[in-house]
Amino acid sequence: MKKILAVFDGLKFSDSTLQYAVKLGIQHDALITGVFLEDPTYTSRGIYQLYNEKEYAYDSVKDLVREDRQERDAAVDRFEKACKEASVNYLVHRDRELAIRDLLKESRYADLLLIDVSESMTRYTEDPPTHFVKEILAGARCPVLILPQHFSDIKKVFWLYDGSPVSIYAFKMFSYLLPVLSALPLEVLTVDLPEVTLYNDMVKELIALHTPQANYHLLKGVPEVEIPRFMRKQEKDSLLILGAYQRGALSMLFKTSMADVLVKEHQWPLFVAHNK
Amino acid sequence: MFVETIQPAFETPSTVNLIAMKKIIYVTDALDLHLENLEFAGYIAGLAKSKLLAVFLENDESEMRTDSMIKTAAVNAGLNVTDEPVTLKQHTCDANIQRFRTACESKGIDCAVHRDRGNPLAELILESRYADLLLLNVGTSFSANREGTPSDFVKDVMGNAECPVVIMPASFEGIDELVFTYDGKASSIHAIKQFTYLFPQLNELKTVVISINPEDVTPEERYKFREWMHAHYNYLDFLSTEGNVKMGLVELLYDRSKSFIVMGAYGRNLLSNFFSPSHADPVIKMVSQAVFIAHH
Repeated sequence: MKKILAVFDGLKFSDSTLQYAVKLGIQHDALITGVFLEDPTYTSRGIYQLYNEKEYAYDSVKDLVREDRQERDAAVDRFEKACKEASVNYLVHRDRELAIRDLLKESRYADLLLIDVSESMTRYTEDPPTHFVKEILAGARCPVLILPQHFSDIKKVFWLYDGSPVSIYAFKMFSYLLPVLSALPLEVLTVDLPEVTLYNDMVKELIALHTPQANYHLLKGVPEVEIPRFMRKQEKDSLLILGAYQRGALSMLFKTSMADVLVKEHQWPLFVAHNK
Repeated sequence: MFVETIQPAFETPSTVNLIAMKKIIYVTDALDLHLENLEFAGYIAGLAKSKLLAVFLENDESEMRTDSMIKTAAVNAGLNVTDEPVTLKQHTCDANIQRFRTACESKGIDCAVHRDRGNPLAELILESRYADLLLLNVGTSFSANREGTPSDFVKDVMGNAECPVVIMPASFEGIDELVFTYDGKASSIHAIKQFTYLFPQLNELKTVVISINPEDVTPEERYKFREWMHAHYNYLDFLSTEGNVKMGLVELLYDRSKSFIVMGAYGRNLLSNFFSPSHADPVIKMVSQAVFIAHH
């Protein structure tokens, strides 16, 4: 039984994460751990909203804290109810410490982490990829599935293969972790790069062993432009596998990662794995 | 030693038992084929419902073995030594591949053969990138000198392979238990996870988790580890001992039989290797069981 972490913000509950979690739970007979990050420094209201009502400030702070707590409890209830209805095994972890560090630690003892692309764990909305999602991508100790804001049943799988060891690692992890989805038709997407053509036979052998049918697409041009353009023409019910997120801050500064580019489109679930 | 269980909320109605095929590579020196390993290799391939892909490393570029060693190899492969050394080597490789195919056929193993002629280590690391598992004989060595176990070649493969490596046992009578070594470090968790993903169907076996100085890991982390283990394995035991890691490991692993040992941490950087050589080496040397190694 695989252990899948589904990350929720109790104050901005993501329906899409819940739906994908339940679906994957049923499909793969997985144990879903709902991780509710309840960082005490994060509330639904900012300090300036309280400032106007300074006369009643003390009471209203107490009320607001209570309201937040109720909302967080309601979110946990919703998660529990959905899992029970679908007969999926589940656990609830409510975490009251600083969000990101704890989550990364938890990911060590998980097989897959699900997170909504727009999750920011702050009151503010950010354009994806949010800082929070970026940090998770870089630091997670298990593969991450970044989810779009709307659920759609996955019917097709695309693998972005760039010849690097890490993209192969991601493909292997995908087929180990989600065997039901890896039985779906696979489309291998490459951009015409010198290192890609080099070991074609070996890669084909690996693919042939793992998937029943595979199609190959070779695009020409700049990967960061061509891949999103190609993907936009595809059905929405696709999942994308890609390797890598460079850990080093320096390399991230100079080179935007393909994951960042695709996250901006927020249309398809992205399965991202890195082996470092 | 104690066992704890986590009560799942429900029994799921249907269990998904899809076993995807794997690319499993049987590594052999083309001149030195050890068919006694084949029983184990066949078992692993059968578990994964996969073909056994044999990689014959011919080492044509940098052959260092003497002519007399090649002659010995030829005799072992059942040839008459009449040819020149170069052609003799070719014939020995061919004969060994034929022996391998025949042996696979008689054991009912579905096999395929790759011949890699270049530098054995470089060829194998490249193969490992596109493979799920390497099966390796502990004595594989392309050197002209006698070596201890594990040989330098085996150490290099374990340290650099891009997929997990299994050191095959010399004799094989089935697997009764899984033995995981856990020290709370990333690489031991990585190895346990990789093993679990490759062999999900072994989760009904007796499973022992060995820790040396378990107090080094925080209780919170141990709890999460146990939670993960219980999600994946049904019959768990936790064993631990205090003191020196190497001694402890050998002590807890020495007397086992029919076990499959899983280890993380094969240090790949030279400096750290120098100061604290991998814990896997003494285990491989002392224990005649199958050892699964993955490094991070």
